[in-house]
Amino acid sequence: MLTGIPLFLSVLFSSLLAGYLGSLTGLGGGTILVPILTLYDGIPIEYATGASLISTIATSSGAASAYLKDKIINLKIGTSLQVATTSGAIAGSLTVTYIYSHHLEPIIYVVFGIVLLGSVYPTIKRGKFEIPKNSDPDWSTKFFQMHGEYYDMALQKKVEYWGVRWVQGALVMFVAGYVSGLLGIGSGALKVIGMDWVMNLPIKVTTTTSNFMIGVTAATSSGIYWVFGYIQPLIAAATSIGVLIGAFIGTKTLVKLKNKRIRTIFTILLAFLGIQMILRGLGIY
Amino acid sequence: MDLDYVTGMIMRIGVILSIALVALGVILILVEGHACSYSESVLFSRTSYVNSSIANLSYIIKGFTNISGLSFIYLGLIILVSVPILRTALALAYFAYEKNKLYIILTIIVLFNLVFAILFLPSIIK
Repeated sequence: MLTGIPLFLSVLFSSLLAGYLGSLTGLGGGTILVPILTLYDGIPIEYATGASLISTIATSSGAASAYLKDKIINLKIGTSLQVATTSGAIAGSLTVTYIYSHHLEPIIYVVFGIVLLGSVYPTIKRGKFEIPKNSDPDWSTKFFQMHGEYYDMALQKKVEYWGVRWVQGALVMFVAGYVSGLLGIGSGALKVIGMDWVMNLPIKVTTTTSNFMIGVTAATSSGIYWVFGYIQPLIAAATSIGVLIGAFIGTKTLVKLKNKRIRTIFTILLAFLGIQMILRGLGIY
Repeated sequence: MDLDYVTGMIMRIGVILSIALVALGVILILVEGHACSYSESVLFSRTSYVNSSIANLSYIIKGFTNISGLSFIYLGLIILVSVPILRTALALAYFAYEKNKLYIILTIIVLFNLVFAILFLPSIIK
């Protein structure tokens, strides 16, 4: 096992990779960062999730500042759903303090593995359509003012859209926030499920808006993580610098790239790391 | 005034500033070989006992008087956490300008959750 400065560089490199892939998919760097840190760099799960939480804020803010120019983020949909994600984050971060203070770390590994595997199916399934099939606006479309439009550079046309089923979407977002507080990740996968499937939003809106929400959600948990000492300054330093640079390179390519290839790579990686995390939690690996 | 532009600018400055402080902190520790009374090998360890639980505001400020790299890192992290709060405050300004009542209320709830969870909740349960 590495120690000292080589350890710092190893964490930095892992974070660079996680940040790049995370920003391309909107799943956030943490989803693959925590497994890499715990399984391959030997970082304790408390410090891995703490560092991930911090770097998730960095990625989200960095990426969002780039997306703002392209006017793809839907501020209303993002803000209304943040009511649910921040409430979930409070519940999740409180739960995790109980888990760590009772030395129940294996639970976190197993839950993490399940979240990773659970992200696989939607990631494959979603690959077929760039833009969702239209479904009729419902009462929540009007009430929450969920109409929007953006210019799609890959399709070279203006896309109009609207969201539906806000209440069901918000329930998924509460769970996403809970998982975010529990695992120190942005839980972009769950956010994407809620917005893409339940609320029927186009993938580019989902990706950018969920990225915007991730920072606010992660910041909510950070106070608890801080006082309970889950943030080791040098590990958090390495991950936030690495993830941010990786994400910066990622956002330079996102708007132009078609979505299919990224998802294939990511899907394989998610499944692989998910199985490993569960095995670690069960004490087999 | 284009609020998207201002928001993007503030977020970019916040993130760059925080990462610069964090990087400066790491460099300081590498140059000095220690921070506060902790040696480099204690700080750069997977299972280091040095963590945020002892880093309250007065601890961080005290670190600046002897140029401790750790204080630079912690300050950078605090600025990083404040970026989403600022961003939400700007969203509130936007909805207030638009006179969108529903979204003014929703944004206030989000801001309350953020500030409560970061500033008050930790001292309640710790």
